Amino acid sequence: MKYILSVWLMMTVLVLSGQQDSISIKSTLGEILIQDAPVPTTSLKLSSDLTFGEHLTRQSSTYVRSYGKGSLATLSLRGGTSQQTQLLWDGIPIQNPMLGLADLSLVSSALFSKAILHSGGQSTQYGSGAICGAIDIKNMASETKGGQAGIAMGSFGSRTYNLGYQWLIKKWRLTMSSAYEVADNDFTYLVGGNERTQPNAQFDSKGLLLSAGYQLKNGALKLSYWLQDIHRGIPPTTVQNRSEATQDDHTQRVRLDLKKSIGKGKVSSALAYMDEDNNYDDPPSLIAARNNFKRWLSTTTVTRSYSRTQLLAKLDLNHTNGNTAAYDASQNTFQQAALYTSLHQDFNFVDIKIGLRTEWNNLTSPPLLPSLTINHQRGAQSIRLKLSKEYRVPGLNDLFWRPGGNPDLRPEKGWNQELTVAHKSKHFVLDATLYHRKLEDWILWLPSTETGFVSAINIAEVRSRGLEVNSQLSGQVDKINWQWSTQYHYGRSTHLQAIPGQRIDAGDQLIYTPQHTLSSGWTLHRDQFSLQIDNRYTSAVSGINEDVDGYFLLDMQLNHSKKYKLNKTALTGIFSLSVNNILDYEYRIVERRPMPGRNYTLSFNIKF
Amino acid sequence: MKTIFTTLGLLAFLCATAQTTADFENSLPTLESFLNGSDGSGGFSEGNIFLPNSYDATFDAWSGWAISNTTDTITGSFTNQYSSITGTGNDDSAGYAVTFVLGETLLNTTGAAQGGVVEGFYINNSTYAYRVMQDGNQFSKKFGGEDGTDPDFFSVTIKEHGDRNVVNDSIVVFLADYRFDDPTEDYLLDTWTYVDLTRFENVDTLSFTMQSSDVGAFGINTPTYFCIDDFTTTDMALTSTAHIAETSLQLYPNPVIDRVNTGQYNSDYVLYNQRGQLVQRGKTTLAGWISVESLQSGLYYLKIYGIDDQLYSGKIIKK
Repeated sequence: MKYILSVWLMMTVLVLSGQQDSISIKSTLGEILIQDAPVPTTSLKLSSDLTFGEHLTRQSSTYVRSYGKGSLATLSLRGGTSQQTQLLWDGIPIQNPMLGLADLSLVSSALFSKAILHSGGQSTQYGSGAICGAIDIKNMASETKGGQAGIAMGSFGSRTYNLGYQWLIKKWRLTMSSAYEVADNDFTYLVGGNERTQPNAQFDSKGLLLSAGYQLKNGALKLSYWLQDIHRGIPPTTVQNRSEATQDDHTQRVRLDLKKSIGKGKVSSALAYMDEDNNYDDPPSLIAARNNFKRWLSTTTVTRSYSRTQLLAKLDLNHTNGNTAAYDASQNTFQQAALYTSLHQDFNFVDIKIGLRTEWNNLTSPPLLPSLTINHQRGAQSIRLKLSKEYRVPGLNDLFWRPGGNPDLRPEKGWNQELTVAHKSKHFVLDATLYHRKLEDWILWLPSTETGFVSAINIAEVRSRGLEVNSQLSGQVDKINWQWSTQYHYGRSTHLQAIPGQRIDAGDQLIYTPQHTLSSGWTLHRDQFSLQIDNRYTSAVSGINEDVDGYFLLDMQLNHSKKYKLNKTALTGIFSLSVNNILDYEYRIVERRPMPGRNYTLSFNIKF
Repeated sequence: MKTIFTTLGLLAFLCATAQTTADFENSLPTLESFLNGSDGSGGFSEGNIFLPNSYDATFDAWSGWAISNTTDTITGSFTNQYSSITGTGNDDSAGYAVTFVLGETLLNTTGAAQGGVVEGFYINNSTYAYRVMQDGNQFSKKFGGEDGTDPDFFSVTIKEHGDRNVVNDSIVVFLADYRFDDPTEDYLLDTWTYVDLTRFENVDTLSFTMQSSDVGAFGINTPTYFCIDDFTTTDMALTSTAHIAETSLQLYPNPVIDRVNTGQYNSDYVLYNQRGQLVQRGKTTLAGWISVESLQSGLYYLKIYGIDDQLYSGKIIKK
């Protein structure tokens, strides 16, 4: 941990000492963005009316595995596992290092304004766990002071409250966002013609995000604190009589950011500390599991631009301690230093980016990670080719969990290839990406007759290939502004060999990896009214025990906004009515886990 | 004289049919305790049987057999691995044996019982498996499934391994059966039930494997545990089929890297690991060699049936 602080302080001093240069670009607090390669990204607008996972599935072709609001929600992107997509908080990884994955239910969407989805291999830039892509959640700065408050009530005892405000005081920008969500989640479902009520599915979630930013000359300094608490029941499966299990997650994250422009160069540096508890209790089974990790992270990026050339260097440091009774106290630490460098050269009609990541850690031998991106743009059309090496360091549980953890595990690794063609004009945007990826040393937990228990081993080889298409069309008819967007993904992710002793044959699709996902949405807007209609199709998947049928969902949201004036303060009120699963479709995303039928939410938000 | 012959005949009959029962009553000094091999013993000798055990001190994990007198009949999780569903052994006794079957569990007859007839034993569900089949958990289904009509089952297959490890016969015992046309006949075994093995005539080893209808991509979801008690063998010491005495092998090199010489030429052999699992079998070469290249490092038990019809045994340490 000491070395992370030392390096970060050294970088900070170097940056602050370079303030004498005047710059030509206008810097705003917390918003000096360091642009990297021209990668295809999807910008997702976040709001309090949907969970983070719901935002992802409605606005992209990602597949989110969950069993309702408040439940564990994990992500599959481009045929990968939930451990192969990185979740970032403004550039800093926030995956659980013990599990090696991110639980999307631990992100209150009311606290953030947008998420950037970077599809495709990102290991060179973001490191371990970004094999299939990365999702970066952000709170975009606003230039005005003011706030907003909201309340929502819905089916199954669902209530949501949120409150946020931003103060602008001379060179200071202070922001506060908070959210509280609670639900009984006691929906009914049918089994064999009999109606059952989902028990023990209640949850309450609290989120608080505070930040204090200070404008420097040509830069900004910002301190942020993110608290997230969720208490939830774990409902029984449809083949379980009862469950009294509960899970409590308590996460605290604090970070200090420094962003500076110095001449033609930019520096962005962040130091973060995370302390996260994950506690599972099941009294009838006499199980009380206590898991905690503490992590120091620092990331410093320096870019230097010349006329058609950009050089970038990024240093990431990580010191993580996992704590659980299942670890040996002498084997619970992960230390990592990684250097990423890139050269981005812009020729006339082609720009080329070459990247290289070198990493050292105390547990595995990460491969050298090169990447090459060639982008050709002519007018509204562009074509992009990307080759990259990808990898994932095993999670701490994979390595140290007793029994079954395997300290000799190797990182999952392989090559990724992508070809994207895109068209972008004022009213029509279309991009289509073909991808291919082959990973070896894929980690699975399997019963082992050698060790006598279920153990983590590098056993599988998996080939993934597919097509991803995103399009957006917009226009105006009379006074109605309309927009139609659609996202489609076809993917095959198959085992290249049979897994001995298991029901996995060569050519089998990975479990919980749909071949087809399609989401599309209509937005109609006229005067104070807007209507959003979303539909989603997900094809059937194989589960661990049984297949899960495909499903089609139709959702709708009607909004009405009205301006008010209270004393001299202008207010905007927004009334919303949401109807989800309009067709009352009986479906499951996870085997043995029912999902709610038609449900409603009524909300009121006010901006001031 | 007639009386003398009659008496001798009776004695011979009694000797030939003497039985030994492993009742697991004397292994545990205190109640609510268990032996799971953490002492590194590699197994338990009771009566005329040996129950192999594998214990991993690094992970505090075990498989094979354990001896127990724990009484928890409620808790259906891995925190209660050692209890029978009655909380007792057979006939309300305290002690019994529990097995966690990972692939296969073995049980060896020893001493006067080796190679002879096994009478039988009592079997019952463990509390862990029983409650999981009754109520389900996050990973396993309750038997009968969502609407109670799934034709579920949970069973143990017992195989007789006789001379030269040949499987002679097998018996299937159902610990749960939901496949009846009349659902009122569906059952989860919750009483000690006798398993008659007298048709197994020349038992060196019994192997136990488990089957369940609740199988996922990564194997059986039902916890593969069951309990046994009062395991009765026939003492064959004075009969014509008395057990062949074992002779120690001279093995070299030992520890071994890739092959070991046994001194026994062109002879059938079997190799067991520390858990008593059969890991390799075959014939020694004409020069007496066995290749152990494919084995992982560890201790192995070798048995060779020599061309002179003698049984030889020894231990191999694979580097």
